[in-house]
Amino acid sequence: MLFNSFSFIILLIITFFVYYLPVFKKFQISILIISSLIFYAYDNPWLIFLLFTSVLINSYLSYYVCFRKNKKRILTIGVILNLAILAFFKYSPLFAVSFFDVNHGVGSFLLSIPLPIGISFFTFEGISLLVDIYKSTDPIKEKLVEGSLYKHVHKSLFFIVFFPHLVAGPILKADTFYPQIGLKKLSEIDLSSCFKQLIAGYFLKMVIADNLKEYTFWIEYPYFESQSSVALLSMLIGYSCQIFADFAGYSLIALGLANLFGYRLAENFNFPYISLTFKEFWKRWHISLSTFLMKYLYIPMGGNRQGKFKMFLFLFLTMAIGGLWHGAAWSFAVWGAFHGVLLVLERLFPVFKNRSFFFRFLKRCWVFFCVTLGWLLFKLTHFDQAIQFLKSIGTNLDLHLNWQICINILVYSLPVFIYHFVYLFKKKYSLWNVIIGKVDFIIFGILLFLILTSSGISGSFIYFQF
Amino acid sequence: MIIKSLSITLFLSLVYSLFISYIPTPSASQNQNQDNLVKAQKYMYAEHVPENVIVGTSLSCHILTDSLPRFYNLSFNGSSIYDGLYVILRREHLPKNVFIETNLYLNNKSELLSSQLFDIYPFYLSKFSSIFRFEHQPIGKIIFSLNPIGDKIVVNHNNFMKRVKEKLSKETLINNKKGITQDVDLFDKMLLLEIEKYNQIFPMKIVSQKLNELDSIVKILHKKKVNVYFFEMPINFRLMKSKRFIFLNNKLRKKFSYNVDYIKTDTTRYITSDCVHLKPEESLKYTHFFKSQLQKRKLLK
Repeated sequence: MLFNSFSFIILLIITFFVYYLPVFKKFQISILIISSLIFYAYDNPWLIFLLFTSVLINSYLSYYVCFRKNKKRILTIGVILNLAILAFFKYSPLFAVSFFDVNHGVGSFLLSIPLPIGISFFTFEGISLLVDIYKSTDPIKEKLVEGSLYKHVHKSLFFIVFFPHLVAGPILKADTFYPQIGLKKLSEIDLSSCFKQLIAGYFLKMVIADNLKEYTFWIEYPYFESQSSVALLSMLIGYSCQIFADFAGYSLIALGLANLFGYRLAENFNFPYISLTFKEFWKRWHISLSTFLMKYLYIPMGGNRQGKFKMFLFLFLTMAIGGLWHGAAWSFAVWGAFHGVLLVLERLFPVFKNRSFFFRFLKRCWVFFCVTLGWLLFKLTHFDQAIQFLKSIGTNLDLHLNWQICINILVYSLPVFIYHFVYLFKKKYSLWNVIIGKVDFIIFGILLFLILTSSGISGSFIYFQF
Repeated sequence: MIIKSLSITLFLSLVYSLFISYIPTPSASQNQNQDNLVKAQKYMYAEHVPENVIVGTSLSCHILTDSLPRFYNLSFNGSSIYDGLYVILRREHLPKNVFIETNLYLNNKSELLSSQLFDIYPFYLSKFSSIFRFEHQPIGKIIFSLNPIGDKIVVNHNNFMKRVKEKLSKETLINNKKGITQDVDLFDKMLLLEIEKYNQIFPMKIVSQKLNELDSIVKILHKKKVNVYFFEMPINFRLMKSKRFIFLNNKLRKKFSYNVDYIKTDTTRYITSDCVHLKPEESLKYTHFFKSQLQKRKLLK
């Protein structure tokens, strides 16, 4: 089910009213679990068995991690099981293409395995549950695992399947979500903050991302070869804005929805395109994934405790693995490795600090340029095609300029840049903050009007494929 | 805050509704998918149903209905004939004649298109007020109004590139050559991709399924006294000789041998832009041919 579908709106309205009815206040969590399962199983009910398997493995093992003696062994088994499920369902096609004949036997079988939606997200949340319980101190552990096994399974089921984050994050961490589980009252909900998050999210997704996708569609082999250099550059920038609007929009909707039911999810995006460095970019882009990789991969590997060379190596490996997490194609690993190299280079050759406006502007443009270049591998997963695209930028100078593509990309990308500029101004000038605060109802009124009248043709969220 | 915002939205909707009612502006469709939706919505919400409707894929979009009075072209780019047929069936009143393109009858109907058109929320909103229709998107209208500036920018861009060429004369020669070969290369690549596609034989199960789906729609149309005609758009001659093309054509003719009138296929060689879509001048040529066939049947004067 998509957040922007009619069926979802109906499900949401029903869930919201039943959830806050005093008669059902004891069953609030169960209501959300049932809604979440309907949400997940709506398009393909069979997938629910895999979700249940994952939940059962993680809730049982996390319970035993808490109460049994051989904790480390149970934790290792749990992490391996999670990764095996992920590898089997997500990376089988990659193994098939890389090591087998896809027309016969094992290769053909591996290629036919379907990718369950959201598997990358709920598997990581399962790992987070196991590791957080294993690592936590006794008083926190008691908060995470309280009561009987049945109660723990019930809570874990809710933690993993809660629909706002189920299929595309933000990736939750058990130690921040479990303490929030409890009775919620409508009077405690900040409805205007929910409204703002939902409107901003739907605007980014339905007006910006869905319209941009109609023009970035042309970044496809061999169609891009017929476009002029200016159009190709516009499409690349447009794709950068589209991917931001799509994913940040989704995350904002998720935050708003969770807020409606009294749960606060961590911010997943924090104006990433204003970043001055690549390190800063990864602290602002898909924050829940970056922190997950940092906490559960980079630091356990050794982090920065074993000398500079190893630190660079761990950083590079973390980014390459993080890249591969995005999709079952080597191009994603290369995309991650590309960011790994940028992060390493940035640390090896730190640019002197210059606080001038112009210098900072140039740095922002440089980070945006590199990040945008990297997104090309998301769209063109064959290297030769990505290289051909870059070559075409150089050779197609004299081709006829497609004005329609350029102007549409410019107009629909503009709000993404304005969104970032407003944030920068808000940080710098407090008066701006006051003005925005006083007229925000007009801004959100206009955004809602544009959602109703200027939405693009709805497509699924880009991050659903991961 | 929520109530204030909703009031602003309501106010803007009313003002915009008045604006588009009293100041006629051209359709704001900006891309292929929007074109399809605008076409479909115009048909669905028009006061009167046109007498003749052409249903097809992007191939038939090249039929120029300007010279075909009382005709409406419900062909959708990147889509299938079933999308157009379901749009026709959605209305209570049906046209007198429906012309169905048969080149790509295996294409599935677009779920995206039908959900945008027929889902309860978009359907009733668009029916209730024209501001929710794709042709009246305010951002689209703004972009449309910028087109005159765009024309100037395109001219300046081309002139600037010419000057760059003149300055870099050596590179220009190479680039020019590249420019020329690039188009030919692109066409060859497209042709290879298309030939590959046209050499794939579809499983008989899918072919029968699609023929049955088409058959059931034709039967409904016949029941409602609509005349159904099949026609074929010309494509690259190498593709017209492909195994798949001939196989699918034979299957179709066998299935509908009794109840559908076939408009003759034009076997003249046509020039295409990408192997399957006619170039503008060729579209005109085919429209003339199509018109002559209609005149033979006395559907046009």
